[in-house]
Amino acid sequence: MKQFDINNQSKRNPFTVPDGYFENLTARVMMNIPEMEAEEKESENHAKIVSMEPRKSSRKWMGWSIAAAACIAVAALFITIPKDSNGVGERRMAQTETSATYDSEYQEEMLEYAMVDNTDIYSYLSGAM
Amino acid sequence: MKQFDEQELVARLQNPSTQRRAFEEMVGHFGESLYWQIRRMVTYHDDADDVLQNTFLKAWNSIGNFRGDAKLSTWLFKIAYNESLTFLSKQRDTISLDTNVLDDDDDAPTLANTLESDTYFDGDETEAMLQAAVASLPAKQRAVFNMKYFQEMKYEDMAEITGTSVGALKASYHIAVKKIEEYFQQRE
Repeated sequence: MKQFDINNQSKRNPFTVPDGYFENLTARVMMNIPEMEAEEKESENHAKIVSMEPRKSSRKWMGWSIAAAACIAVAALFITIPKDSNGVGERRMAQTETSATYDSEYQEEMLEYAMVDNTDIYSYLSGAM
Repeated sequence: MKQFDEQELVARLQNPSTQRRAFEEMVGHFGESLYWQIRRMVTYHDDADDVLQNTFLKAWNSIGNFRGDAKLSTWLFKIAYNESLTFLSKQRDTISLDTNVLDDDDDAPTLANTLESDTYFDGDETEAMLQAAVASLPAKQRAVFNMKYFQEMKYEDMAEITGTSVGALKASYHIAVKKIEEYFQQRE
């Protein structure tokens, strides 16, 4: 083989292509190009469908709201129970001595304050939300 | 034949009602030069055809992002350059090492011999060796060498396509030339 000199080497293109390749190239490329505009027009023609079902995200939000409200209600219940100055042990005693009516009155008041009713709590606890 | 007006073509490419027809004209205008840029990178016709099809598909899908800041040709050559690199990277991962002329000197003539027997290659022995030497370079260096040596592009244009500084491109070309000369010296 003759000595290679990059500066004097021919830059001729030694590659070739199949007959008619460039003549058909544009048509072949365009066959692979999707109909972008047609798809957009088609989607514009369709009426927007609005679901009557509450969206999943809003249902999730409602569930969390109710859970948060229930927590506030329970916390408020403990905070507002009159503390006995004689200590924890005696307060427990006092709680057990408190009538059921007293407790339920308090709970109802708190639930009303938190704008949550029993149905909401039951449905949330049962995982229906 | 109608004179090519890039500004007018770009305006039609950005208008949804004229986009497809303008894109077709763009393929007709740049298809061949893009093919040769890709072919020099990937060597074989079938691979070049695949990469070219992908290049135009990418261009079509991102046509909305083209704002005409750069030249249309630069934008397309850049996509073709990236598609070629992606192809070579996948090929490197899948093809066995016996086609890699850098790894084993005994395999060095393999690509040159394959090229000489390739239907779509009509070069002589030296030209086949030169292509084998170019193919032995790392992909980015190969691109730099092809753009400068065969396509005789300006470094400034190459910098836009490759996203590399002019200084780095000059250094890369210099190294590529040295490697190719060494490749031939080892085989003389």
